[in-house]
Amino acid sequence: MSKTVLKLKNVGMKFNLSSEKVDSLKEYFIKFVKKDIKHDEFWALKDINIEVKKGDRLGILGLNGAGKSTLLKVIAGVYNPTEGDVYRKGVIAPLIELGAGFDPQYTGSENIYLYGAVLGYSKKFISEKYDEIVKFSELEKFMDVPLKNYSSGMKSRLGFAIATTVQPDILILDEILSVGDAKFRKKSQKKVQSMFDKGVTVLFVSHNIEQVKDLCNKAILLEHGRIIASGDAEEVCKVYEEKINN
Amino acid sequence: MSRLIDHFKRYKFVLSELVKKGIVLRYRRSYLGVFWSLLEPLLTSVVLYFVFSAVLGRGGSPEHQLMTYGQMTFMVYILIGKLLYSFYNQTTKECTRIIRKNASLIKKVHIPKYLFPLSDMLFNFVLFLISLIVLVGVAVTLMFVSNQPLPTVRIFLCIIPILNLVLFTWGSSLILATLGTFFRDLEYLWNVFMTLMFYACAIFYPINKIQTSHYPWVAYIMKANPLYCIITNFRQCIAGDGLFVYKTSKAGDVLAQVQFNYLYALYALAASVILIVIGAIAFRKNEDRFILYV
Repeated sequence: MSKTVLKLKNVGMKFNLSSEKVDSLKEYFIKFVKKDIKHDEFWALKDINIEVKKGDRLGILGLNGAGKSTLLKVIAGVYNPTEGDVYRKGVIAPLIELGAGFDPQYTGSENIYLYGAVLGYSKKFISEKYDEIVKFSELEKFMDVPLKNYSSGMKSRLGFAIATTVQPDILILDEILSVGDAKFRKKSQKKVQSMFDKGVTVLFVSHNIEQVKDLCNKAILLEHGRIIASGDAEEVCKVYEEKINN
Repeated sequence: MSRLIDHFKRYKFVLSELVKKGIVLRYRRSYLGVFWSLLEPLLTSVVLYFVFSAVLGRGGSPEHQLMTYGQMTFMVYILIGKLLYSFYNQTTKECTRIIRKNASLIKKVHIPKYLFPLSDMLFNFVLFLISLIVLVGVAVTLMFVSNQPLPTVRIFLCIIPILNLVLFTWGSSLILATLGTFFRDLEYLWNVFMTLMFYACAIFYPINKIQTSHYPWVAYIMKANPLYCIITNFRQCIAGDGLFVYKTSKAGDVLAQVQFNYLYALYALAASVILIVIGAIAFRKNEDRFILYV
């Protein structure tokens, strides 16, 4: 019986969809006087129960707008769920939104420290891994250049190198990574593969059924913010295929 | 308690990185670098000095200055007010839009939201401490020029108003950061309010000028302003009469000005604590909703 590393219990995430967003005092006052403030509720996620054991590779399937990204953000802690509890154990490496927190005015090396700090690394850890990060991103020559002069490929290479320098317990992947050119893509996939080999727990979001079948042993299928199928990856993929074909 | 320490350990590096980022980025693009934070308050104070001593006839002869401001020259008087006010003004102004400014981070990674206003305040505090060099320079120069007595050990007491200023600013910033996220136009409203605050802090005139004016009640309103209390006490630490000894001055009306006022200190501290409590509660209650508004 392996250990549970991630558990979501009755998680729900509610958004207020006002047809017109009130975000200034003036508008709020006018609407208040006219008694016109309404809040349309929208549950992006509802009654989500997931239990992920160590070493599981969970595929998350669903059409656009099913709540996949919201679910990942709840798991990563970006959103605090409106209801329910999220239990996580260990280091989470969310390989989504690589390079969040990069500052365009900052140089490459400054951004390594900044982004590392944002990801929760310690200063000591980054100093130790600094050379490794620079080497992996192949940006040795550009470390003193402000990030605004980087190409988008360079930025994502740097982001990837920083985010994967840690050995995570839970890896969150949104689609298979396509970072940089073919050569770097190969390298990055090798890196992710090496994490897989070390038995990391994976959460994988994809539209590609084949990839999910290859990669995952378990899967869930989301529709309108609810789990409509969960269990063995093959079975869930079958349900998903039927959904698409109907 | 141990949870608090763990939390602090975990996020102190992010905090220091955010503070560093603010400082580095502000001065990277300017040739004068950090000297701007020295030059800016100095130049503003010179302007204020000339406007109010030459045009309006304040300041006046050295004897008159001493009588009015305790053992302090008008320039130092202005500079203190200006520096303390600027720290508060700059921090609170930035905090009204601090959450939106960091929207890209908030939307993408898990990070305690209070780190943004806190790092902003700390960054401004560092600049404030740097700009105190100007104050020291000007005060020492004028001390020799106008032959004034050396400051006493009482000068170390200025830690109290400085700490109080930080607490007051922190409370205000928390409230403004919360409100400013939901109401974008708060920024403009706050700017107007800070203009009022500029006059209500008695930056370039002594309050007894108002007490003896046609509207003495205005002085009471000003004294209700915690920032005024903080600034006044800071001035008393730099130059005032006795700290514990109640010394009578020849000009009777000046007394309130030149004593370190414990009542002011207590009042400003109480106001700061109340603001921090309100701000912390408001911030905590709403921080999960910030992401939906940025």
